Amino acid sequence: METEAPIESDAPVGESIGMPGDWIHVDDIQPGHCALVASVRAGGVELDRLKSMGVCVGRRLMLVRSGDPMIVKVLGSRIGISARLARQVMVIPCAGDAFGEA
Amino acid sequence: MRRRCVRRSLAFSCGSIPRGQAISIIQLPTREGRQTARPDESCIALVGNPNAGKTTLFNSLTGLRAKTANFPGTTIERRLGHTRLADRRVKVLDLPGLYSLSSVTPEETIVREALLGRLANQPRPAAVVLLLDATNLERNLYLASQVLELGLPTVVALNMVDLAERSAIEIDVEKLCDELRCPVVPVVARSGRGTDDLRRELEHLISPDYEPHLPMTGEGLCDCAGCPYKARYDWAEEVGARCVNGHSHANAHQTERIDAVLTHPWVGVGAFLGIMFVVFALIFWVAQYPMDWIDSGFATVGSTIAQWLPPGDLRSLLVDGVVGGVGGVLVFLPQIAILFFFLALLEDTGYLARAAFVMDRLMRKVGLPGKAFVPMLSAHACAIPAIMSARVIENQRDRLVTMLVLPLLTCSARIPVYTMITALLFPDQPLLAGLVFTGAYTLGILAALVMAFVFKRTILPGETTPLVLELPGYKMPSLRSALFATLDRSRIFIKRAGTVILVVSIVLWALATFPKSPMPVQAVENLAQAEQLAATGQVEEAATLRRDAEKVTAQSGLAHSFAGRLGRLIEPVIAPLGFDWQIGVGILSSFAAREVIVSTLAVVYGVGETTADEIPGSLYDTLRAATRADGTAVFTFATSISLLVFYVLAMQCLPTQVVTRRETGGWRWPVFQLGYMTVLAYGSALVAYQVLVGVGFV
Repeated sequence: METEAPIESDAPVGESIGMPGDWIHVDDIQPGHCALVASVRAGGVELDRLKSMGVCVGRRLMLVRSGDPMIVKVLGSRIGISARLARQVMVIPCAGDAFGEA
Repeated sequence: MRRRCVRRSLAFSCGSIPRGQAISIIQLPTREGRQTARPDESCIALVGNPNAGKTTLFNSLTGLRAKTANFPGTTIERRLGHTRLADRRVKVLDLPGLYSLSSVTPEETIVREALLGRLANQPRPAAVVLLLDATNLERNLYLASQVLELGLPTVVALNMVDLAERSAIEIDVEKLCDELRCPVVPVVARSGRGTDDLRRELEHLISPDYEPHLPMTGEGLCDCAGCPYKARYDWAEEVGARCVNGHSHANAHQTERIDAVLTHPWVGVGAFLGIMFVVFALIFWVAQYPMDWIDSGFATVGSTIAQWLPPGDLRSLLVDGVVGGVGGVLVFLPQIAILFFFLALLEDTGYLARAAFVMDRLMRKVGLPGKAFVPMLSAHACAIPAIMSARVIENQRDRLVTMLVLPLLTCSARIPVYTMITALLFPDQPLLAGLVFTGAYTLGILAALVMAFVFKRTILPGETTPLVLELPGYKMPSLRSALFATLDRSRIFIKRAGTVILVVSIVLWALATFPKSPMPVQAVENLAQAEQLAATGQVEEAATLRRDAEKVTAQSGLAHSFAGRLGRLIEPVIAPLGFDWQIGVGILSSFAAREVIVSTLAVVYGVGETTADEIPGSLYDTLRAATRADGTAVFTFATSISLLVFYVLAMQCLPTQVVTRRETGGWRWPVFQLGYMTVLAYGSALVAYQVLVGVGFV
């Protein structure tokens, strides 16, 4: 049986983009708007899955539906994420509200 | 798009890589790749993202005879089929769909080990088919980078190129071929387009003259101090930008429009319940026909055997033990199969992911993920497909908790028992009868939720797994794939459960038949009278007397059998529940299949099985008239409710136990399941009976 690492973690943030002062939480973006993933905290199998699905530093994502769980769109695929997990993802809002091709 | 890739030598040296070529992030070859076991020339493996169409491609390569089994020692599934390549029979191994090979989850570890030939009894595949979704190339390239790194002979099958074309996604296949350093074949798994080209590539990869190329070594990702995910995705986006013209992924306006409704927090839940209601209505409506056929089929087989064999133990064993016992369980196969079919169909459309999404918020309150909800609904038809479909839950503890509580939900085998008890309680009051039914269903649901909550806080503790779930684009489901899945699952059910059911049916028959007792005096008298009446031409009266003799003999035989003695033995234990020894015999006999209690009670109270079948009223009248030694009625309100509560909560289903064993990889959890459900059923029935008697219901 796998052991579960706590999601909240003090592990180093690892690679990140921009200044932490510019970061906001994913659920602070307006639905339909775009953002650049600036930092994803380490920890947990689910966060690893999230990263391998494309929610990792440097990717553009769009918030499709807010709430808990929410839907984000990354690299053309829609991913449903618990708000608790999404809190670990910090983003920098980008210009344009269309996804990807903006 | 149709151009086949020109095969190129993969043996580049480092120096020949143009500066800045993004492939350099792929570290090839790995030491792992070289150290692996000798490949099995007659085996190829299929790897790809979930929702990339892997199962469809597997089906179109292997056809109907593919088998699902677990990796030895695990509960992770693999599918094994065969195909012909260059006039050779080649095994095709379908590995679990995954997003990454990083060995974070058990699936990822096992797929990596399987590809490298490190699993026992599982030689290294000679070639790998890496399936990429053309409508979502960049995301799929992440896994591709990890699979290509292994340095195995690989061919990329670029699936769903038809959908990509429709979304104006133009993929330069030759360029992709260059970037990935392996052949790329555009295919449409659903229609079979391109699979011949894929076969040709595979024939080349597994042919004896194939020269394994030493892939180039690039700057290793593992040495990179930064985020490995970022590096790979940067590469994926660069490759995407170079190989894809126009959009890099499908514009999904239609999917988004549907999702606006189906993932809405409230409308989505309503839509989900509506969809499942239609599915259930269809299951019960469609299944009744094949169920009738199976029922009458087994009846015909039974009566044919009865005609051919002289009366005696062998006839009784075959007719009552084997045919009756196995038939009694197999009659539910249509419901099981149809449920499998609809679940496969719903999954293929992409809808099941939405169901898990909208139910997540509500399910989390009891500590289970949203994905547990579809199995819980399915369990209302049958716990077996439900337990098998609990595989979608990634977290092992959540999956285990779900499997443990699924048999508490009212399956269709309980309906005959509920019908009998409501008929006993409220024969002519449909409203009250409906209330009892609803109450029984509600009790099952509440018990499942409460027990899940309890397990999550006691023996299987852990935070609720947060949701991470891809919501794939909606598409028309493939009937062929759903049919294949149904056949596959039904085959597992018949094979796994069939043998056990057969053995247990024979054991239960023996318990109810031996030791033999002499014919009771009343039966002997009846038969003698019947002879006289027959001699005087009163044929009908004689037949009635013979039937009576038969009933009395069966009743006395069962009473004196081991089952009857066991019933008496446990009577002190079940007496506080308001049960007499006859009900005890019913409970024991329905150990393998709960609906058996109805026919057992018919025999043990002397109605006769056939009579009870033909005129159910006769069974209910007899049960209502049945009395205890002190002359009071057996089936009082309190006893009936107690019996109902017991059957809502008790684990009286051996096939479910066998499937739980298969899914948990041992007998520990099914034994626990049996234990806790029996304790729960006993305790609740005890409370129900004692409270009802206490407040004056006798």
